[in-house]
Amino acid sequence: MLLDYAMATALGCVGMAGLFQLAGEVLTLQNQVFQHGAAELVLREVKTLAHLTHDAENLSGICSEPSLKDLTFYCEVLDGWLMHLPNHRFETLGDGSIELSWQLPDGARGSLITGPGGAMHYP
Amino acid sequence: MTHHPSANIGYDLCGRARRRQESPTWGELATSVSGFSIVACLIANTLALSMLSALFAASADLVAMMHFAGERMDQGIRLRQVNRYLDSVLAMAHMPEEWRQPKVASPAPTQWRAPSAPCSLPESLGDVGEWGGVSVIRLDEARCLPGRAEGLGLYIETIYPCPDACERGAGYALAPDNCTVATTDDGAMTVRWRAQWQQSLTSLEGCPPGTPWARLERIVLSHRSTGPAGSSNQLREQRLAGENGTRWTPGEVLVSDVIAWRLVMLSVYPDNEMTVMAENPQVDLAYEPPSAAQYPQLSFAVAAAAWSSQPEMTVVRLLVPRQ
Repeated sequence: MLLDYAMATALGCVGMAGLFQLAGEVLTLQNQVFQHGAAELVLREVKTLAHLTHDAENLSGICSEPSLKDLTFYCEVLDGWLMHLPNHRFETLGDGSIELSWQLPDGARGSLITGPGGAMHYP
Repeated sequence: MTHHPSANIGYDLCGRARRRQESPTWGELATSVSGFSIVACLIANTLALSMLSALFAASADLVAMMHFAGERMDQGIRLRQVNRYLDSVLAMAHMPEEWRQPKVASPAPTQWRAPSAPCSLPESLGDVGEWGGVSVIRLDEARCLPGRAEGLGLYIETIYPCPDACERGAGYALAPDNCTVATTDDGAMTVRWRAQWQQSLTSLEGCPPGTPWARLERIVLSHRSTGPAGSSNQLREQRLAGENGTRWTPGEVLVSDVIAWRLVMLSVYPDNEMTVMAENPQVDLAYEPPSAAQYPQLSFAVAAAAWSSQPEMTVVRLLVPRQ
């Protein structure tokens, strides 16, 4: 009888472990969605700033552009969003579009590219 | 088949007597009936309780993280809702590219056109070369807006080409003056547009089929904080809805729990020597030298639910026409 009980306990443990893994994956997915939202928001503003500064080369340091003054609050907010995107990197592609890539929770790299108008797409 | 109750009773009595003679001790009986001893039962219960407490301890963190992530997701959704709404209305805040006047014929305007005053009658403005635009207005100066709103609002005049974006229902239609459309050699339209109120926007009244026309809308976005300690912070939308041009809809809540609403004008000088953000909101564009282009900069934060300890989510947007 004790063996039956141990088997039932083991089964319960396995079930709970599966539930925990599922919850963990849901959390990871939620985090990824949040990161994509943050990337979309940052990329939109960086594209705007790049346009205003006549396509600045250094997008990561666009807030330190000498031509931009008194944008402290603006840049603080953008920096706050960039903190959610670990190891982020901006890159200007050949067609002039801007790519923002960052490290996803699962270790892979996610990226978002600006398109015509306000559109954005994934590579 | 005949049934004999007396015989059965006799058999039962004999059986019980036999079983009574063979009955084990109380401890043996407990073991044989339940399947395990009291010690084994205690061990099993201890194991079960230990496992349950370990599960609760492990799941408490997980539940807290799920709550945190859920709340953050909710904030993110509301934030995205505002951003998508702004994108959609700002995309229509100027004349369609093919309808632009030759002098400004370009893929998109470099800065927002100043729209007509929110309390002016569209039909009284006569023939206008360009409609649409974005500006920052003082709400207490716009007397036609219902309610006692104060502070700054984002005023957007939008143009939706018809018949694709028009439905049954009353509204303002933009039609070419005298229903005639002239084009230059490079294909640009030299049209002046007039606004007229129509009870139905399924077709353009007074012009032959095929005449280009559009629906004109005016929108004011404002922020309202009511109740103690900002218990009700709402981002509201009001639309021009009346035939006489002065009736606006009451504020419709777009997103709730929006705090720290702030609108300022950013001046950008085309020589790229400096970009200066005005320290105080400037509604009157006459303050700026003509060489500066001005863009509204909007910032706001989305607060979490009252019971949540999640910090607010702040966002800032520079409203520049899309290139």
